Amino acid sequence: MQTPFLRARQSGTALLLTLMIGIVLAAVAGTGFRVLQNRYRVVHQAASWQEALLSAEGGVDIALNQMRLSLTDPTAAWAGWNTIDENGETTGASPNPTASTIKFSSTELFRTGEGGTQSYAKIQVDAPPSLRDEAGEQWYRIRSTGVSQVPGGTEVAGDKADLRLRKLDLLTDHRTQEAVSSPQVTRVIEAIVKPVGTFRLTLMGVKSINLNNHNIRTDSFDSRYEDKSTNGQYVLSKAQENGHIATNAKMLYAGGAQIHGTASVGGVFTEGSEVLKSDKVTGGIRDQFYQEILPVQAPNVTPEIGSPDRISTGTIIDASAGSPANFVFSSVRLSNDEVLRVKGAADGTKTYAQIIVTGDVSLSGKSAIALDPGVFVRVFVKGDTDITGQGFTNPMPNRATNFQYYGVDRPPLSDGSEAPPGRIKIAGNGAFTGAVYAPNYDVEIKGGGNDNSDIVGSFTGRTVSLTGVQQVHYDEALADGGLIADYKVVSWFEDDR
Amino acid sequence: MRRSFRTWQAGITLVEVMIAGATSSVLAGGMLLALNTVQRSFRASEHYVNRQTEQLRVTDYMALDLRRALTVTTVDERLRMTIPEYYHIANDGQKTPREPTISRGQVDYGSAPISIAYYKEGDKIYREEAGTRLTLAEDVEDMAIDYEDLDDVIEVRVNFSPKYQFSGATAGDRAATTAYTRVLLRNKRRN
Repeated sequence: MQTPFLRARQSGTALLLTLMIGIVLAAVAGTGFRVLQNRYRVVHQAASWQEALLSAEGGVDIALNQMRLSLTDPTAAWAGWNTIDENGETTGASPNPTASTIKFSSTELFRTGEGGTQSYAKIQVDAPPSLRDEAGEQWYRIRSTGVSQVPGGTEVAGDKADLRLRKLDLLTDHRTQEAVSSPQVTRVIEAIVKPVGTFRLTLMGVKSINLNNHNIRTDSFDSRYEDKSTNGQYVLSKAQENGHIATNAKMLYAGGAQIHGTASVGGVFTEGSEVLKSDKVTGGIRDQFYQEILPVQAPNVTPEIGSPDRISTGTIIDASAGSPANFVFSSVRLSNDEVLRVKGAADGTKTYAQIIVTGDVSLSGKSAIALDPGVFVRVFVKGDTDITGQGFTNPMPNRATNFQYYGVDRPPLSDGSEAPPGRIKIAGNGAFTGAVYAPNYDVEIKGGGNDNSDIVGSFTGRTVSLTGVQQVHYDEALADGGLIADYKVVSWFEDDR
Repeated sequence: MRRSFRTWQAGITLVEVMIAGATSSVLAGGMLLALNTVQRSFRASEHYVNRQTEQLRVTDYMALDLRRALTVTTVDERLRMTIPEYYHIANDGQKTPREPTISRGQVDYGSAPISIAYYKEGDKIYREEAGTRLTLAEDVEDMAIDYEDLDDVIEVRVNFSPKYQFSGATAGDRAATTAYTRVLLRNKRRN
């Protein structure tokens, strides 16, 4: 009788012991699981926070891409974007960031991230009046909100400092106070984008740059600021080191010239790219350079009533305030002391003119195209240019931005092949002040033998070659002038509220 | 009855008790040692994971500020920078973004950039903004931070001393814990 009783008691103790051990083990495992789960959440919440930044920066890139598209294909730009009015409501108006705020939600960025969550960006672009620069160009503000869903449920994890940094929206969006369908994290970037003009470098040769004299010097100044110029003019004591030269090609011949700036080539140094005779380049030599070339088209304008068809004996044309006066000539051929004067306002206030030349420009002797003070001229030339002697007169207080010379792209030949490059030759000019943008033209600038030729401006050509003794001073104000060729981000701020 | 008594006597000889006691002692000692080792390992692992979380937090804070910095210096083991005065702060503490303006070809928010510094003092790592300190990590005496200024990129390296070795961590062990971030300064430097 006693034996079965004893057996039963012993069996009960074992069960109790097993249960107790099981409970202890479960508690240990549960604690471990909680610790692990917390760490897991911290890592995933941090990863989602990082993904939100990538999405926000992607949103900035999407907006920037549309701005660039507006330069080359305006009809295709801003497709899918919406205009929002001052009340925040979407309207049916065509999206135009200059006129009003426009917005876009990026389905392009929908992607699967850590834990099967999604990321996307909400983008707004506008043009505040406070973002208009001294040259009158409008800059743009892009506000991009990167949204990334957070895996791991609606539980917070990590230290207080983590939560202060990442500001997870587990139930409500902390920016809008609206409920969220699933936990998310948002990051907002405000980027300011400025237009970049065609005249970004002192010398830019798409195919090549050839400097043939060690007495050539490039440097820079800024006619807008007194600490970088005197009365808007170049002085050696205030010279800056932004006299950059560059080519998209692999080879650049610096010719021992004094380049107070950088010399850049396309391609990679280790793969054959090279700057030859670069011993006097102060800003260093760089590879992997590439600059997108803006197609140059002559504006489609109606010439002013009564303006001549061609210029061969010298004449006077009037620039106008506000919108530019337009003139179309089949050619400009001046010799001896004939002058084509672009007349401005008597008091020197700003006036504007556009001259389209469908044929060649030829100036020799003391002949010149002369600008009055305060006149801004853009010349679009479809033919070749040959300047000897006086050439262009762009007197003080005019700056290089006052005289812009564009080589218009030529259509393909009838057999579909590429048209041969045009030619712009400027020789014997003592004091050229202006800027040339002709990416499909061979630009040749001939200086004197012993006398220094002071050139203020910027030259972009298919090829650019300088010979003789001359100094080219790049006016940094040119970077904000000329036709808009690109946009770039100049300010970046993450709004971490 | 006799057989049963004999059998009971055979189970409790002195020798058997001594052997059982010795075996039990060895097993108990081994278990205690194992438990202690597991506990040390758990603590070392927890320390390691905590430090990694703190590394992530510290580098994330720094990266956020560096991306929007206008000026950066890395002297005296401190990372100092200025960021735009982006916010207008109302009396109730409400922050609203300022309208950007252009001055000398640069974008400005407000007129006085905000100073920010990161540094380690004692066993804490701080972020100091306009004189107000925020503790980013506590009890991190073994943590070390260094910075490298690569002009348009700043590299931040954070490491600590792991506790897995009885004899203490070597320089190699510490180096193996290094977490680093390279941040491209989005704004053109003004210093």
